[in-house]
Amino acid sequence: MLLLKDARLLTMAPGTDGSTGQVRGDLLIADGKIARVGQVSPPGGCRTVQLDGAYVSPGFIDCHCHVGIVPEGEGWGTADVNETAGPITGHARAIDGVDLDDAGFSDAVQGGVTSVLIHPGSANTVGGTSVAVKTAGKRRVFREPAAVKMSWFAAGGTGWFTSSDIPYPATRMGITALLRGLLQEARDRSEGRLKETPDPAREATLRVLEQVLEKKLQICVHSRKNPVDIEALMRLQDEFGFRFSVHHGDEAHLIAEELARRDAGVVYGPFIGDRRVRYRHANPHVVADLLAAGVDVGLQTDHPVISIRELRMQAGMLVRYGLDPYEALRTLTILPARIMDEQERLGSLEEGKDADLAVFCGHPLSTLSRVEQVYIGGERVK
Amino acid sequence: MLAVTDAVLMTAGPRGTVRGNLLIRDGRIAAVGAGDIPAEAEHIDARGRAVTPGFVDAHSHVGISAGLFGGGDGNEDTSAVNPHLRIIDSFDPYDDSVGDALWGGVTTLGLLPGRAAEGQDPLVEQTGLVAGQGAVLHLQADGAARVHKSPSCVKFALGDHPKHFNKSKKTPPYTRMDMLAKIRQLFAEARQYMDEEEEPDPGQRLRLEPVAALLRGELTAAIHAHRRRDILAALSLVEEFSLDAVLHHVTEGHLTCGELAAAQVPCAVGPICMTRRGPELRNINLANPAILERAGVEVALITDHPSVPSNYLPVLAGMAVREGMSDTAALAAVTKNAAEMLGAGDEVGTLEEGKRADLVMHSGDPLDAMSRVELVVCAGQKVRPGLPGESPSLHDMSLARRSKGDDDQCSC
Repeated sequence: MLLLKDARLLTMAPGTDGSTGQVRGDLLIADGKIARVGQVSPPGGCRTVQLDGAYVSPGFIDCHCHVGIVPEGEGWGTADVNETAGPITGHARAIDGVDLDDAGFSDAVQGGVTSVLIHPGSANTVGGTSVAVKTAGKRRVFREPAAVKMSWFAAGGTGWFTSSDIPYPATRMGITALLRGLLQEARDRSEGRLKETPDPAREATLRVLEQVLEKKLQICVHSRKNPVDIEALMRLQDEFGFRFSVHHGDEAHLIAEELARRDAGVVYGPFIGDRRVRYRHANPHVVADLLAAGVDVGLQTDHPVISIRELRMQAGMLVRYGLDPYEALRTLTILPARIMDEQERLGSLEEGKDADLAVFCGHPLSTLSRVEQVYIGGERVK
Repeated sequence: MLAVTDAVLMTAGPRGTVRGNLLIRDGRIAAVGAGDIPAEAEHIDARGRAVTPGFVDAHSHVGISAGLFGGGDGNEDTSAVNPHLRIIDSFDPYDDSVGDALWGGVTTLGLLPGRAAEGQDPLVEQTGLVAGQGAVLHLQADGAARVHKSPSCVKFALGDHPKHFNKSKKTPPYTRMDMLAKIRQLFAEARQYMDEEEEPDPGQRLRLEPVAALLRGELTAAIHAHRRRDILAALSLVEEFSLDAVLHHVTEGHLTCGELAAAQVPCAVGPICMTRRGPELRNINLANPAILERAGVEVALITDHPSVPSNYLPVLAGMAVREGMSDTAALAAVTKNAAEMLGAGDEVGTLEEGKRADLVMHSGDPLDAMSRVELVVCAGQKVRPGLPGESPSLHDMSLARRSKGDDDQCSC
């Protein structure tokens, strides 16, 4: 058991004071979980860490990154992120490409990020399955598969796909038709109208899509610039029924009400990285519009596009442009936990949740605050 | 006439930080600190807010087309050695990125050639060996840019970037050996050109005059180097040709600080928040600026816009402070030192009498992402809302609940 004594607890829990979101008190950890929050007198045999009013936030969550699947310091030449063997690689699993010892995970811990959703890349229409991982500690992989990655990125001949002999669809209608055919096949299979296919890779893809139709796996859709790809996916959702979240979502605010109606979250960003033409629309006001419409928004680094260590800097920039600091902090904690369907165990400092948290010398979103301590599953990892 | 009253004036100059008034007359700083404010001056009451000099980005590609339509304008990739090119000829003053800089409080830009075009893999950076001549620009309150100096420098690149570039184009050099040989050869040609009594042909003159200006000490050499080995190669060139030089990026500066301090070559470091996206950035370290500061090296911090958007320049300085750099050195790294490296230190970079009245008022700590830029003044004129590229403001939106007490939003 471990007692963190006298902290400014940014609990992110319902019922806390919305203006500051802050409780001055103690936090008791037992068996890797948060046991009590508030005024706690140390039970017998309990180790105590005095925090003297330091800020404590739930560990941050990055729902869109490629840590460990694009190795640090080697460039994209050795990356395992895009299986460009064809447009449909639903058999590929991100976990098989992730190096859990990669230095990127230690960057994450340095920045207070404790949980990540690692995706295959966006080169394929169905890129493969994503995996949910803790950035340090003893039990790292906590959900596998966690999602399936889809993308309309291949449309428009981006020239990424020269390694494949299999033709990629060249248009959005072509990609959508390909997906519709696959989803139909998966539905027919699950309803017993079709037998197994002899091709093991296709068989694996169809099994993944069956889980999507059962709403056990969500679709994570890559969307940059305008929301045309999201709209295509929403039409497929009307036909087949599944859960999805929007990733990047540079202009997702244009369809904010529709996304709220469908309970689809947006994993927004990165907006501090390379600002070339395709990132032009990425601006903090998109987040404000989405939140105002009731959409769950998480922020992403897309690491190594920008460093996962600076995930919180993006939330700081939202405050710079006028967002309330507590609201901005929600985009790193409870909201991405909800997008991942992990709100029962992550995202807030509440009894029964995983003891994943970070201790800061000042406000967590201030550039000048250092991450002093990080705990994952109650274990100190920084 | 404009007067900013009751401000915490972070001058970045010898007077450090003083609380008081700042008077602007005819676009210049007329008084700093105490002193009466003439009744006819327009008053801006800072109510104790921080005011800094306009920020100076010593390495930027603002206004240079990334090239989605019609190719990039930053890097002439038809050959590796292009001393005759001028980046000012590629500058588009109407580009949105000018507004990014202005609304972030960045008022002076060191514009450099040498930048990969859109469509190439953005993570395999490519840069010509001798990319051309840089320029220094002052932004104006109406969004225009005024040229302070062009050419201001000649840009060289050492290390992996020019190798990638050359391999993709099937034009040598392919190795560091030939890279250095080609640079030495260019200097040798320039010496010959300087000794020539007859008028050289115009093409030769346009190509070699900027190199001769380097040898005469009239222009600065801006040398791109990430790794320790390439930093050392740059220092050897500086010594061999007695160059007035600034090193750019300097990713492994923390591993080379003894040599850099001994050579007294200033370093435009960064962008410091990048990932280890290739072998050259393998040893990237956020403490690099702090370590260089302690070693006695003059440091500026850069965005390399669009690598990091211009408006993050002060936030990069905040990150350097978080990792151990002193407040004073970090502010100087995005103001005074950067201005001096651009040869514009007499004109901008500090709040001192006689300098161009470029200044920024902040809602909190100027180096914190959570603080807002509340006012930007260029040459004595307030930047007005509505210019293209204006940073988004959420103040009018229903969700943007501002903390009680507008002034203490940043409660770190």
